[in-house]
Amino acid sequence: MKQRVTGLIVAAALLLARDAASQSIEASAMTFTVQSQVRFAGTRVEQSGQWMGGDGAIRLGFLRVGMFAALGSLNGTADALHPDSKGRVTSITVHMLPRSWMALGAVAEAKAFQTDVGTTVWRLLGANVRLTPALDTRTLEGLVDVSYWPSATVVGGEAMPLALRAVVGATYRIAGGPLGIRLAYRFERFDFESRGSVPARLEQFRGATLGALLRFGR
Amino acid sequence: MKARSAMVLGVTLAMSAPCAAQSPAQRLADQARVQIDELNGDSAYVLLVAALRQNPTPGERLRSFTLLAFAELMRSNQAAARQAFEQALRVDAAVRIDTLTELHSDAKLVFEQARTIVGTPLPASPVPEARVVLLLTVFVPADTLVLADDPWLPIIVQSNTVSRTVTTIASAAAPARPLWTDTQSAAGRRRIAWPLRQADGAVWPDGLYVLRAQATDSNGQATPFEERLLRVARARADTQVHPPLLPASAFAPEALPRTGRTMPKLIVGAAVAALAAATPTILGNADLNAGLANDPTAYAVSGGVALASVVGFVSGRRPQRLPQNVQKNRELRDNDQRLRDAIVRANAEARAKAPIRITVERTP
Repeated sequence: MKQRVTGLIVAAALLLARDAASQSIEASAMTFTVQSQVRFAGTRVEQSGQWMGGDGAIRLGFLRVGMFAALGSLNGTADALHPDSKGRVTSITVHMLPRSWMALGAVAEAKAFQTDVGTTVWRLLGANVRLTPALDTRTLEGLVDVSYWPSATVVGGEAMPLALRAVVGATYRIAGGPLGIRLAYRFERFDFESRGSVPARLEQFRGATLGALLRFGR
Repeated sequence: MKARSAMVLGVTLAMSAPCAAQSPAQRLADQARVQIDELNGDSAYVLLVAALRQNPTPGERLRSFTLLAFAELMRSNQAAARQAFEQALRVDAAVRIDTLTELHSDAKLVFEQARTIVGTPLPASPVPEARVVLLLTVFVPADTLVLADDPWLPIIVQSNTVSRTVTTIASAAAPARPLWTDTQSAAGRRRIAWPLRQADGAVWPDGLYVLRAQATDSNGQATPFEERLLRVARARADTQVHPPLLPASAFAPEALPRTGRTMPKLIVGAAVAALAAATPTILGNADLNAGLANDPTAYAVSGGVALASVVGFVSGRRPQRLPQNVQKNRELRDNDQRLRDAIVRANAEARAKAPIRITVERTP
């Protein structure tokens, strides 16, 4: 099922892809005020933190390649069962652009969480759909970015039957120029399977992202 | 000039060889006379010197020296002319040059000087001959094209005796003010050319012109004016047709129109805003979300997107300039103008190079 969804996305990208003369380069910086919710063994834990990151992308015709990196922290709980942790996210995306406002492609992402106890690394491979429809004639465009990772595992640990992320928001390009401001809502969900005596675990990250975007080209 | 004279002599000698009726000196003298009539003093001089070397008879010597004097006068050599007249007077002291004085204005004076030196009395005037009626004929091509680069109209004037023929061309609007004048002093057929250029090099404008010619001999006898009415006009030039004006459809819109076209965008914006608000509900885990209030952050972002969409919708109703289309249209207009300018230049050049047609409108 997971592979079918990914395959469908890639096939749609190839079918819809048209040769476009557009080429552009863009970079952005963002901050993510994150709330983490974990439900494990009947208890629910909430943590919060601040993440900072940036990405860059280059578009050549109907191909777009982007990289993203962010790091931040999550505050521990008062009971010390969930200590402070530092996180790091790195991802790379390859998109086909069948339309100027539509990008379909693949995404590979790694998340690393470091606590006093140790470091946990997540490896996520999947598909990504990114829509940026124009919301007015020149300055405003929407953002709907959905990633679905059929292959999501903790390195040396359990797998995730469901892993996805959605970023929904808008970008305002100042006076229609290359500089833009992006406001979006970011939501990530990871369902961990039970493993042996370890019960299943549910995790969600949610929050608002605010970023500045610089884009040159068409 | 010497080469040309030598060529004339060579051709003349070659042509005279088979003719046995005339002596070589006589033939050369005849040829020299033709050259004198054509005002070719150098050629006449060469021929006459050759004639005098052919053992001429006294009569031939007399004629050759007389003509030689005129040839020298044409060469602006008065001393040599006087000596030639002296030689002629020594052959025949009664020689007269009355019928030849029209050939050069100084002929009488130099001849009298020679007569004084030789000491021969002035012979009695001969019995006046019967007066010859002076006739003048003018030939102009009835319809001719001349090149614009070097325009000239060939004209032939022909008189039956030695005379002074004055040919003028004037505008038909002001026939009394000649624009061009030519004077020929000889008998026979002479070819002249009317250059159609003014002093500054410009071609005379199209219009009607009057050609007038009159011959006057030494006795004061003058012919009536020969007149031709000439029409000068540029021939039709091979010009290019200007392309049609660019249609309005050739230009891209330079601004978005004031229409409600952003309505679909407003709907999309509303959908994005709604999606942002609903994302935690749609994608969140029900167990994990149980007991939680809806995420206010999602609503805040949703509200921001919705507000921005509304602002975009409102501002999108104003016409907005499209700089790329403005630039594209400017280039289109510039290219079109360049093309038209090039055609204008090419047509002007073609008109300037168009041949000039000259037709005789009226011949008396």
